[in-house]
Amino acid sequence: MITMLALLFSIPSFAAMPAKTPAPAPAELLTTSDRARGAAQKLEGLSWTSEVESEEGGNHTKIIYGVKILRTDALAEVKDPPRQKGEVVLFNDRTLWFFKPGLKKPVNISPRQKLIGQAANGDIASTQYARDYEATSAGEDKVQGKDCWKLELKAKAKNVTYDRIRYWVSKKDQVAVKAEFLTLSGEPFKSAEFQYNNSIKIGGGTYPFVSKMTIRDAVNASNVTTINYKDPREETHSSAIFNVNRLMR
Amino acid sequence: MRKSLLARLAFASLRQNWRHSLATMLAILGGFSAVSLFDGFILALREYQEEHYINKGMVGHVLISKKGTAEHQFEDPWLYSLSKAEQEKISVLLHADKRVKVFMRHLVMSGLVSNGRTSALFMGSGIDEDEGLKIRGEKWAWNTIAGRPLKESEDGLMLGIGLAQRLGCQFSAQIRQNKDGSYVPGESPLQCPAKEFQLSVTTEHSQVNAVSIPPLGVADFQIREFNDKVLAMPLATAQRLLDTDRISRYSVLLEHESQISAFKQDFSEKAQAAGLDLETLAWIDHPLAAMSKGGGEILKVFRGLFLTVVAVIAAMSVANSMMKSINERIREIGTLRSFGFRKGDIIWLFSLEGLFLGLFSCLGGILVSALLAFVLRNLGLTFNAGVLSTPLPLNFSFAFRIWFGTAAGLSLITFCTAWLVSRRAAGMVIADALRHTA
Amino acid sequence: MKSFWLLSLRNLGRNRKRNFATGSAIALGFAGILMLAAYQYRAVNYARVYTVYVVHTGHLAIFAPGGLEKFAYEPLQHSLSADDQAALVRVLKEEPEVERFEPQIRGQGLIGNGCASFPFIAQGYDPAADKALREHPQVRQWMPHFSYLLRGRGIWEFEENMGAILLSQGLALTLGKTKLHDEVAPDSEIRLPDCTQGKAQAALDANVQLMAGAWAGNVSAVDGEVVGLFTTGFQESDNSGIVTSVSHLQKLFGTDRVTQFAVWLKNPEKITEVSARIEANLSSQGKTFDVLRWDDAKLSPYYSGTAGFLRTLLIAGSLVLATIVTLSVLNSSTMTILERSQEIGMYRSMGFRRAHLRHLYVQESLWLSLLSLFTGAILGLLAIQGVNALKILYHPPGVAGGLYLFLVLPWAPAIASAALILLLVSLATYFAVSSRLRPSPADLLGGTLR
Repeated sequence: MITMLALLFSIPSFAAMPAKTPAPAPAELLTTSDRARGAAQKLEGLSWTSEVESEEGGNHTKIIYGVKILRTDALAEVKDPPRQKGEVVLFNDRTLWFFKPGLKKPVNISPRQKLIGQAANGDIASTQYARDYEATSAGEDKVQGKDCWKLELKAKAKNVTYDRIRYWVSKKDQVAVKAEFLTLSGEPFKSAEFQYNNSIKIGGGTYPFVSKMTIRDAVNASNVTTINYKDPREETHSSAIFNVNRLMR
Repeated sequence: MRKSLLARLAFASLRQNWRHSLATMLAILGGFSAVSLFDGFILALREYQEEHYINKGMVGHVLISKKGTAEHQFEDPWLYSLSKAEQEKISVLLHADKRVKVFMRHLVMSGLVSNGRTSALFMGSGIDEDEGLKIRGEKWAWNTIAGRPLKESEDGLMLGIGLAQRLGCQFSAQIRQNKDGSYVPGESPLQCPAKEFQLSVTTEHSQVNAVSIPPLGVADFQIREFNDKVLAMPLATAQRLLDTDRISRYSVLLEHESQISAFKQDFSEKAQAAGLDLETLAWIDHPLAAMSKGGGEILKVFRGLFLTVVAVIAAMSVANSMMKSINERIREIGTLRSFGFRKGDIIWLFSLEGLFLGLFSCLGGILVSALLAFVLRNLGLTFNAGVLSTPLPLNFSFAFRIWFGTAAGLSLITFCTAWLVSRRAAGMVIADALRHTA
Repeated sequence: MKSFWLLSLRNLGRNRKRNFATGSAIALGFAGILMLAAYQYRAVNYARVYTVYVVHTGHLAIFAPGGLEKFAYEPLQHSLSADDQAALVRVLKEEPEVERFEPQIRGQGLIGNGCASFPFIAQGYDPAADKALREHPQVRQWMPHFSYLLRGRGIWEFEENMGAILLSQGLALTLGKTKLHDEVAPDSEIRLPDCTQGKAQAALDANVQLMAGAWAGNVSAVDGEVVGLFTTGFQESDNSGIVTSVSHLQKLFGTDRVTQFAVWLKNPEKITEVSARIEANLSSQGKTFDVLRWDDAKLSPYYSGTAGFLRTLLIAGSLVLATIVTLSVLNSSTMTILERSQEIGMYRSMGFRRAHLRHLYVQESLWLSLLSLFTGAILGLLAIQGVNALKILYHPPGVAGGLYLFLVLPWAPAIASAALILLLVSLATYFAVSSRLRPSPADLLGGTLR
């Protein structure tokens, strides 16, 4: 259930610039994707629409969210289905709030509760790798027919959900093509694959932008979640809209 | 008059008239045996519970945890866990106490366990299996009904019956048990749909972690609800899963159960002096044991009612039989009086007879109880009790201490009854007594 | 024969002391059996009423196929749809033996106070049914001191759309919800508490949020207003239990389905036939459900275990007491006959046959037993009154704060045990007398047989 919430904040790892030179240092590769995000952080905001489709334990759900991002804050509002319209999920860094119209107070979900069971999907989407992980090179690989650099990411601190990530970054675009999320003990827990059929204009430049992300459970392979990203754009957001007190008004 | 002579006389008279007292003795014997058997049953039940909580369940005699655990653990279990440094201090204190036989650590958690297709919520416990083995003792060393027990050095899961079934494990419902209820050691087939089950949890630092662990055994955790969600694993596995070196609590097995309250007091003082903020709990006060504690109280109420009725019936039977006996022997009383026996001596004589009557009946009753207990416990009968997962064996202990206590009490009652009914006859004028016809 | 009855009655007066002692044994044994029976009767009825009415089990619980076991994991697949419910309502309304029925919903999620959230386990009841059950004559009769709420008022006292919630006491403490709806000023504004100020902030209002995964898979949340606190007596549920209306939980879980139907009968003794009729009527509407009886061990493990155990205890106890009484009577009858050997010899020489004499003595015993049973009944009733007046507190499993030892006498087993004692006493006398009737009248008259 809570899985769904944090899925929205898949801040896509799009590259700031197309890579031409071979084999950048792993840290540099992450910095590149960090710059892509960093650019977003320095911006006055980003917006897009997410269609989240989930298949979990035989249940199929589809929800469309309007997503607004400003630095480490994110706000997602349900556009469809109609009966959920207006529901809001607010991410203040690592604190998660859920709110829906008519509710007298938002509900706080602690990182621990958010992670109950399948809920760990959220952090797959929202982790800011450059900030949170130390990267080392693990050679080259081919994923989805693309030549990739393979990176091993290790968490810098224990405040991130996944301790280790195996990360495939395409040589051509310097965008992440695939990620495997490992638990502390090194077991694969989830995997994600990315497609980049969107583009976004930022500061006069045009960059590839994630269009689809598919998340699979390592153990329960039938549990699949796909997120389709639409209409990504740069947009100015006031920091006030990310204040939890504002939700109640 | 010397009491020993009176006692000899009373005994001789009882032996002479045993036929008359037979039914009385049978009535007392029957009642006494019934109460004694019931006491044996209560004791057996208590022993069963003690054994299953203290030993098999590895609760130990005393539980040690962070202060406030009982009340607030629910809010944040990590806040009420014991750090490595605290564990070291506690271990030193426990090692230094001569009363401590063995102690073990537990780390509790909850999360999701999956076989690849089905998932279920679980309540888990990581345990020091080597110490657990010592707490369980030889009888419960083998604690699984299918598969095999855990080993300290090896990752493995011991699943509750219901949880194992939910996760699709196949095993025989037929439990191979010894006569004393313990399991026949030896691996029995356990087939689960996956070689390893994945356990996913949130760690102490709120990271997600998952570890794949092979299911090794299926155990009966006693309470039906528990069997549906409980599992156990070695402490090292649990700590790796939760990425922590903290633990939830200690279980301490003492040399003897009677040391519990003294140990609790001493330990609390020493812990406080060592700067530790802990709470100690006797096993019976643990919420787990609370249910059986309540059940025990009900049994005691029953037993009290029962004993009262039996005591009164015994007293009345003795009164009945003594009245007849005295009535028949008034001439004898007259003769004794004429020999110089004083009134008090006569009363003593009959009272002692009453005492012997009660005493011999009760001694016979103890024999009968012991015999019945022996026979009944070997019949292998069982009964259902409350929320327990499996029927309890209908068992009867040899509660000799309680039996002799009850026997003493009942004999005292028969003594007093005889004393009461013999007062009048003893007070008769000698001449009247000698002329008396029954 | 009539004269025998009178004669035997008069004979009772001949050895008053012995008869008193024998009679006392019978009376006390009977009083003991009555007390045991009263205890068992009361305890079992307490457990029954607790199970059937207090925790809303009903006499019959109706689930979607497999619902009892599988609902918790797959609520959508193993619950009753609106169509199922309509069929059930039709069938149950037509059944004259049904006193009341109630759709119920169970589920779990997180409950928040604006600062932090904790897991809850919820029971959704029909407020009107909840009210009716609390005030049900059976509850009043068997649990007169039972107070459902520790504080506050029941959910039926409030408007449906307010979202009235009862919290278990442990959960209320955890959430810091120390103030109830009635204790908060009605016009006070609900604000997001300053969470740095600790739990005191949570007590500013009685408002909470329930959040859960809706059955369709999305996340959902509703407001709740804490109107009362309750305790379950079991530690685990006392830290996580909440009670609210079915409609409120349906809103939370985003469904029109329910977990189960509970059905209460006017006459629970007809449960088998009513259950069969309901199942037949449902199947004629093309519906097959799992219909479980309230005393099914799967549905009410606590009741079935307790009741069975107490019944065994009572039967064993009564048999033992009856045996002691019989032995005691055998004892005194033997003594009586021994003493009256000469009298028997005289009767025999007067032409009374053995059968006549057996009649005479058995009748004597019967008189004594009747008198004693009567006395025993009075003694037993007095003892029961006494025990009840003493207010002895004991702690059966699952009863918060313990229970007063309160005994209630069941009449049918009392009469049955009286009859059993009469029979045993007569048999004991019969055998005691028979063995003394064998010698010839001359030997008996000689008085040498003792």
